[in-house]
Amino acid sequence: MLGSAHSHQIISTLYTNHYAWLQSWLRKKLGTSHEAADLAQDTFLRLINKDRELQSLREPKAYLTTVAHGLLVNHWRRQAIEHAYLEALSALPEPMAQSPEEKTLILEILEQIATLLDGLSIRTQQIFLLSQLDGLTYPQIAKEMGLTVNVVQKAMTKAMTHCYEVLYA
Amino acid sequence: MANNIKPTTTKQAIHWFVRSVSGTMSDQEQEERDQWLDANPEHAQAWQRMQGISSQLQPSEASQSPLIRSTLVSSANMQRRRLLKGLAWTSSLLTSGWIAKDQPFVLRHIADFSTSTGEQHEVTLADGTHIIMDTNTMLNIAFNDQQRHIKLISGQIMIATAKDPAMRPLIVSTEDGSLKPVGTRFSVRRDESDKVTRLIVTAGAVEMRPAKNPNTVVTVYAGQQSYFDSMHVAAISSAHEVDTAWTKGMLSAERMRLSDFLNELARYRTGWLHCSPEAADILVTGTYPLHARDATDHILNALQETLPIKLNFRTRYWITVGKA
Repeated sequence: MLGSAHSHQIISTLYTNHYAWLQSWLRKKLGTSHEAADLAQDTFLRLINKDRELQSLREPKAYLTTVAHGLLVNHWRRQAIEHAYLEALSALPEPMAQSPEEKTLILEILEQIATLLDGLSIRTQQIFLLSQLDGLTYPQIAKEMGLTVNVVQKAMTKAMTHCYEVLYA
Repeated sequence: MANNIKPTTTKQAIHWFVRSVSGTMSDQEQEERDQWLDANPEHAQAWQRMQGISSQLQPSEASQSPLIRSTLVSSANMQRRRLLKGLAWTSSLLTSGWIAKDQPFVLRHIADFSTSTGEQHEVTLADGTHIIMDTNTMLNIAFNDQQRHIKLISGQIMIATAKDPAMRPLIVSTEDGSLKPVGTRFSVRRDESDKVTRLIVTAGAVEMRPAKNPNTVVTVYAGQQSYFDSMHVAAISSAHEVDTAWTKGMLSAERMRLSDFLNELARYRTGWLHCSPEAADILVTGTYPLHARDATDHILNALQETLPIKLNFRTRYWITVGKA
């Protein structure tokens, strides 16, 4: 396990040299400093068990920004989902009673689905959700979205291929 | 998870799944699907995975599905918007109809890197390639074992390439086609409005290849510029320093028509900037800093002081420039 001891050394050097600017880079993106500190910590946590990448690290700044960027995207996704969910809730004609646990659970499910569908176009996502969530037939989806059945079927193929790659490839 | 299913089987399974949930499957098709399922244990295993994907989406309560769907779609929109513009959420995002204003091509992407209106940003990629992003620019980066790919979705970038230790070629692409640099520095611009890709090479050389006419390859050398759409490549002409002044945070013009200059300025400015026909042909020469606070306001005021023009403010975001 020579590798991981060495990695540990690399991570602690990276931390000493780069933590400060990474945090300020994140602060600029996020606008708040406590979230920036959290994400900067998470960025370094992600480096653990990345022995191979750390051994051949040439551009530590670029590497750290790439990792941090990925975390930022997740963070924004989570924020967007929570915000959209609250908006959708408040737009309901009948208020829905929900315990904090239920809310946490549904936000987790939503995030999981959003992660799964990330990278697909919004139209494809919508088609896929209408089919799999609402159980609409292709002609019904086509009618609702003003598309041809053929386009709907192609989008479904694309979405399934995408999900398969995310989950199993 | 470890046992791999053949890609052809996966493809067939996806086909049968997509048909099975269509609501338009004929009896004969169903029979064919069942035969396929029985034909090979691997088929059944692939089918299980399709069900697995589908079950990820099943809500615990059916009544929640519209809520989940609208949350997911609007959060995907918001997130994209967040990444594109760097703006905080606004409630208007959720009102229907705004999507139509956006380019469908843009909708397909959540860009890896982006700048908002008026913003410029520099990025150094893992291989050392340096990119300066101009206002309102979106790009995606995909590096793999075979190549380094930079996709310019819209906007303008200046690229200084680095030599890759792994010797992977660098490809820059736009909707119109691809660019292959040979040890170089060059700028690429693609505006949603004019539907062409503009190339200016300041060092080295770059090959242009239109997407729908891949046999056409035209090389542009240092000091030259050209542009292309997905079919055709325009004639090569010499490049002007003013066209790359933006990389130094400057907007520069040399005897440029006012209407053209205002079009350039509008790229850095939120809102609507209109030039009246009488003022359109007035010539502008000058170099203006873009990085100052309220830079575009200062530039407009400077123009008003030096040229026979008058700014008419309908609102702060709606300005008409007329003859004085």
